[in-house]
Amino acid sequence: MLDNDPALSLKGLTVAYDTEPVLWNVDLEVPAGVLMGVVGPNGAGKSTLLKAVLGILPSLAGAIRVFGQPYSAQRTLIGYVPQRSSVDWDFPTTVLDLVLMGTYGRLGWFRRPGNAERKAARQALERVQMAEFANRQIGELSGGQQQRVFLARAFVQDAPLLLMDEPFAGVDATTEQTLVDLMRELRQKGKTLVIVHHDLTTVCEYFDQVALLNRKVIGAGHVSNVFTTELLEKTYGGSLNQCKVACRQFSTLTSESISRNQDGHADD
Amino acid sequence: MSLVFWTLAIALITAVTCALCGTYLVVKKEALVSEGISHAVLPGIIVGYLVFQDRSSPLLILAAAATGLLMVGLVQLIKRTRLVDGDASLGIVFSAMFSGGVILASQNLRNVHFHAQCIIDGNLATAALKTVQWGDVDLGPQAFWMMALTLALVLTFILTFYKELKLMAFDESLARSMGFRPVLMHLVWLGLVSITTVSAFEAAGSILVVALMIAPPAAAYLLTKNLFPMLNWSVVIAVASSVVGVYAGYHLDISPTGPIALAAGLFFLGVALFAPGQGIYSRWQLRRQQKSSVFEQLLLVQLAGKTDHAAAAETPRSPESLFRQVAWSRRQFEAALGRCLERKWILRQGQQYLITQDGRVHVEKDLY
Amino acid sequence: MLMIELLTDYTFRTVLLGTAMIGAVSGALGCFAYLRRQSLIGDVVSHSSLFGVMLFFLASYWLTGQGSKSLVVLIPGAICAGTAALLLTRTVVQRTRLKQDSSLGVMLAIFFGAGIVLLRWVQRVDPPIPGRRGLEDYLFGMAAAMTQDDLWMIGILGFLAILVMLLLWKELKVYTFDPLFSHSLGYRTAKLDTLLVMILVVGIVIGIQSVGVVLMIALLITPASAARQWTRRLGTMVILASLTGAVCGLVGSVISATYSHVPTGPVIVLASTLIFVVSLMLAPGRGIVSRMLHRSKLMSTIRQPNAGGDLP
Repeated sequence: MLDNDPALSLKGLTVAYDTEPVLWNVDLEVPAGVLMGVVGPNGAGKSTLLKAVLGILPSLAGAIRVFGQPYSAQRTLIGYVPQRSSVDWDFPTTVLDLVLMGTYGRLGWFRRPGNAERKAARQALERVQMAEFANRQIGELSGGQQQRVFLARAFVQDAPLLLMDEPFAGVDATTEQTLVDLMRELRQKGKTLVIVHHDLTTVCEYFDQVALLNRKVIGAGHVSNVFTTELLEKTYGGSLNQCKVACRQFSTLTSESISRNQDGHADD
Repeated sequence: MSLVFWTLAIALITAVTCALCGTYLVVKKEALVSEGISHAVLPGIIVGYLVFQDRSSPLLILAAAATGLLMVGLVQLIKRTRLVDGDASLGIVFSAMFSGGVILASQNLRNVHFHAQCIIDGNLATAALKTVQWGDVDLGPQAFWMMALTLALVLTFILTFYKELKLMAFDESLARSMGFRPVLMHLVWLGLVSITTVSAFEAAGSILVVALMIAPPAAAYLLTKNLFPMLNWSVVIAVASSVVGVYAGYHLDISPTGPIALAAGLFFLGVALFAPGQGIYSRWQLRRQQKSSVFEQLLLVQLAGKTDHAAAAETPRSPESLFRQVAWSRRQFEAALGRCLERKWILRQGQQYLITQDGRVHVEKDLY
Repeated sequence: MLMIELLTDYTFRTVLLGTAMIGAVSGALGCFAYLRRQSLIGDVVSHSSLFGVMLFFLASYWLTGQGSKSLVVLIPGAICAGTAALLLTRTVVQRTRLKQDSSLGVMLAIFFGAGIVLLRWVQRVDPPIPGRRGLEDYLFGMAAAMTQDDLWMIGILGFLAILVMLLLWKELKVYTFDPLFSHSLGYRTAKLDTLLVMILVVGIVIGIQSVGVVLMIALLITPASAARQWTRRLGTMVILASLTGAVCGLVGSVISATYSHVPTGPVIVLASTLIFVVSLMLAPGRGIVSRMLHRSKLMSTIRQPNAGGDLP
């Protein structure tokens, strides 16, 4: 039943801060089981999109459906990885504790995490190669390690739809590789991932689908169809420098990524 | 001159000085530093009094103002260890210093009139009674002239460094790159805040100082975005609060400092609710307008076939098919439809709707 | 007075128990204010509560002909005013471009100003309102005025606030650390926020009679800031802060009862400040001394020519 409905479907979503609409009439469908990147220039409303989907920001108009149902009925089906900078890393808690927070949703009110939850959290930490840090204070971690812990928490949360806000911002190469591997593994398990991304050069390599966003959706779908010079120019307007670099990268990668996409479908 | 006149005069000049000092603090998002300073000067005032035996000696004022700066310095010191959050260190330091002051007073000043009333809401009426004589001429209350001197100091500083203050208030990194020394300026400013606090202390007490340093500038902050009009508005609101407060205090037969503080707060509430543009009411109205205009636009977009989903572009559409297309409540949909019809952006043909030339122009103007 | 005399003294036992409970409750709840970086709400709530205290005092006078100074009457008033001040601050921050600190400052002007107006009016009004003597003690606190009823009120409210904190421990923890994530867990964050505000207000107002509105912020923040230095777990931090608060409350009452004319509130504050300074200096790993030792060790390692390659 879940397979037929898109994991996330937005219709006419319009969000405004104060005076200016940040998202305008956004229509977007994210099929279940894909890895979708959301890219666009600064201020294009990428983070806003995630926050609006989660109901953190109120929308002026539009409908949000998660696996075919309105969001309010499906809140627990969405996992979220906020930007690393949105929390206070001097908070007195250990790495293991932070990962355990991922289990709080299914524990329900009043219950405390037990052994089963701890085991799951340790496994998730192992999965992101952070097992030996379990009892560290979170403030002692580097940026990349913090991001991995966040991802472990999302892993434990085990939601079918996962929204991630700039997970690759300011992380080291090893972490980036770990993150990508983990995302692919999650997709393999049938999860859907929507990831706000800022580095155009890696889009083709990391994602199956991409949504180009600049206040409205300029294009969305398979990377090979959407990641074109024309649409990128439309998305980024004047700031084409980064865009051109990306396009060059793209032309070298195209064949590779298309074949990878086809492989992906063969798996399905 | 009557007592009421001098009471009002002292209240006015105190209010204006505090409002000017506070403007910069509010812009720098450090408003509550004034709360800290107003409490932390207490031990300074008491030690000064024990040493000089004269509550209005200029030396006492400087000594107590130094205590205010000492607090700022201690807070900075604790902040710099990065072990404690900034707001917390402010709270810890000022409450500790104030406690020290209270204990000092309880041990040494039991015989002197120095109780809670002085610390919290001062005593304007008593202050107005203590006049200075020059030969045979009565020059008016000492407190007034002390405040006048402080005001002169603050005004001189603002006028001399207006440009620098403006830069620092709104763009500190630019100020630094241009060779100003924001940290030094900041410290000098906090020194002025301390001096103002101490000179206002006897007449106004800590509540009035804090209220007047924060409420009028905060109201002004919602009325304008530039420093100069903001200073003006702060002064206007401070003056209005003191007039209302002195009047109310006179009628209730209580010290006017509480009423002045309350009046300043209520003036702020009024501004926050009804200020044009930035007020809560006008922002709410704007948001409502914006919401309905967004609905109209989205409806027109459907009819004009601007999105991929409106497959049946350009052709007339039945209300039911339109309703299915947009994801709103029935009430929202019908209201938007009504407004578009009224403005002649869409036409009704039998059971169907069609976009007009006006509507098309409206969509294109607003979309890109 | 001798210690043994003190302990057998009924009034003193009440005060001792009361200040210890206040210290324990506000110390524990203060950790949440501290970690949400909202330390100064303690100051604003306690000042604002004066308005509620005065309103409920007047209400009790109008209803019974005698103004009541019992905490059973006054604390509900303080809770109302404190919560109102915080909710109004939240509205101003959300709906205008004014920032948190200025908004808090304005609420101080409004609520404390109104409280002072009422207090001075009650003190001056003719004919005098019965029971008005001693109202001024709410400014700086008068622990010795605590009665058995007051003790019950403090105990019950404090117990309820701590109970809510324990029952919703994991929810409050994740909300304080990462509000966005807690939203994605399905929590109603707006309700959680209001609940947290409510228990914080309770933790603040139960102490106003003993330490007064001006110094209450220290009971909330100083133990939490000290406890933060010693641990890497929220649970330990809350326990340590609570113990610190209780011990300081005891110390304050004992000292103020032993020496004449020493007010209780300021002594409690100075005791907790002392513990704070010691924690800042000596806390293992994090403290200033431990950092300096670490640095000098590092420097000596660098200076040894052979050990250069072994640096971490």
